[in-house]
Amino acid sequence: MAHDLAHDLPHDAAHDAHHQPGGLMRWIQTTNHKDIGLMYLIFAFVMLLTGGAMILGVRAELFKPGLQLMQPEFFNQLITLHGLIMVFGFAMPAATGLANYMLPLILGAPDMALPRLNNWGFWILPPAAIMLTLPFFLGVFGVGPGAVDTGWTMYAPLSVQSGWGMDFAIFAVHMLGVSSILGSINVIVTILNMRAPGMTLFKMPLFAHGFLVTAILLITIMPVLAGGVTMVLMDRHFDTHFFTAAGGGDPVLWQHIFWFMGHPEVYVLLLPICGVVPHVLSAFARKPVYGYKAQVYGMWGIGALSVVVWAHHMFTSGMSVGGQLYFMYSTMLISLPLAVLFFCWIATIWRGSLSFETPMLFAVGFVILFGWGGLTGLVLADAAADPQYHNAYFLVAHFHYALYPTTVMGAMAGVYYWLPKWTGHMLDERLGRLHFWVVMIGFNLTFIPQFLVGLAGMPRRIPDYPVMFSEWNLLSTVGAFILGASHLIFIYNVVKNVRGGVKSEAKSWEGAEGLEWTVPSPAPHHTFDVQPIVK
Amino acid sequence: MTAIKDNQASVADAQEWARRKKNNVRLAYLMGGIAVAIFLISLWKYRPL
Repeated sequence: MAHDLAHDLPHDAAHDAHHQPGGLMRWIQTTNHKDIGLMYLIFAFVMLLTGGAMILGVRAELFKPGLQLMQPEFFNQLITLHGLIMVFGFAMPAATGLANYMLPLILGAPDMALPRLNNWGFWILPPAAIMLTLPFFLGVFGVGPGAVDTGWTMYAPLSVQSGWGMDFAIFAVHMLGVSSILGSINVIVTILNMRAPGMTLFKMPLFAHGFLVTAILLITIMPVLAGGVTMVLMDRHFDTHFFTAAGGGDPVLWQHIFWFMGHPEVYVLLLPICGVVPHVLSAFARKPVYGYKAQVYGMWGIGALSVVVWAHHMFTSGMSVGGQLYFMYSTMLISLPLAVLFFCWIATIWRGSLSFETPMLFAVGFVILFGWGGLTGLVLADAAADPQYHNAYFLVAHFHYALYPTTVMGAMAGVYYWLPKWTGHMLDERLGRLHFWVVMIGFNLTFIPQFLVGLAGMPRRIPDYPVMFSEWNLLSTVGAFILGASHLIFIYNVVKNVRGGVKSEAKSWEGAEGLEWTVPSPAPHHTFDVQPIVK
Repeated sequence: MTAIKDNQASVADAQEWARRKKNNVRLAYLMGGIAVAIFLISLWKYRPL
């Protein structure tokens, strides 16, 4: 077993290059970190488009008041699947893809520590995605009750009573959780044990620190969610009463279990990008990263605090005053290490020799928009103010300002930054900039109106609304379709980049630093068969 | 960060990777064990009475 898990490196790695199967089998059997990273990224992007298409259906329904396109039950399925797909199908695999592709290059390792486990971790994902979405597509064709329709939070007792789409979702969550735990194990072992000689933890690039905190968080929280959905499954089919009040259970227990996973999950999505962005800002400011150690401590501080603040999501569920005060203040405390990161990001580019190529645009866009997400989060962390906003569109706008700039724009900054290293070609800057500005217009047009209708009292998760909210909803829907269209520009740009373009040198960007820029572009199949030594 | 770019000295490293492989597996089992333990504890803690 030990031998299976630990693929011989670099001895067997060298074999791979010579005995690699062709066609589909290459991708099924591959243990190469670049192949697996690429598959993760493509999978994540397909899921982004799938989840995005679903929410465009929702926005189309909300284009104007009055039910036009779908029944409320179908609407519920769309918003539920959108949430589950974006978090578990897109954002987490996208981060794992970046980690897989870049960690060995950045750490000076020949591959991830456990390549076969890596392959297994990826190939669990497609069946999980099918499991999650199959009831939806069957439902579209009139077979079965349709997909899970509880909202991505799967609150009990609704999740105990819901149709069999819920069972599919439970097993899908189990599989997605196993995949992310396997990926996390690989990331931790690679970072702790595969760094180039001389690369101490405090010489390690921030990219690796971001992923190390993330992986440790995932190993802490995903098993708890797995335990929770197993309890739901048992309540549904084995007559237990974990969450049913009639049998002595407690529906609020589910909320605690879910948000113990759900809140750190936000930081699981954020912290990898906190590792990516300093690389980009530093390269295009042509200055070293400012406050390296402060950023490392900031990320660890965020990770530690993230697991003790979960119940601020439950202020409206009823809680003792003492509980409210604790969760309010502890939540606000997270803004301190986050503020340290913001300060360091701004100080990194302060008085730098700035240029705004596409990766830099996306990195700066992330900093600005995520700042809005953070500030509006402080409003929601206030236990007294929260009931006004919590179940309104204000909350929807807040968490999209927190998550979209992070998971999409931050990831785009990383992808555009390292794309020349992956393909060997410089990207089309004109298209990249067009992509950025269409994203900025589309995103803000979608979500600024949602802040406004939320403040005015429009509840979330409803397929219809009073006429007074019409104008802002119309604008929000137009913005959503613009945002959706922006991804077509990205696809075209990447395909164009893969097919050709100006050849990239080993160091694609003038100000770029790090081991990954010492190898040719595109990076060879096995990167560091001979170890670099870091002094 | 600044130290990374300076040195690309090469060493024969096959033995080094072989030595690390054993530690990789041990660490992986430890992490996997922790994940399974957290899963079981979360079920056990809230078991029906």
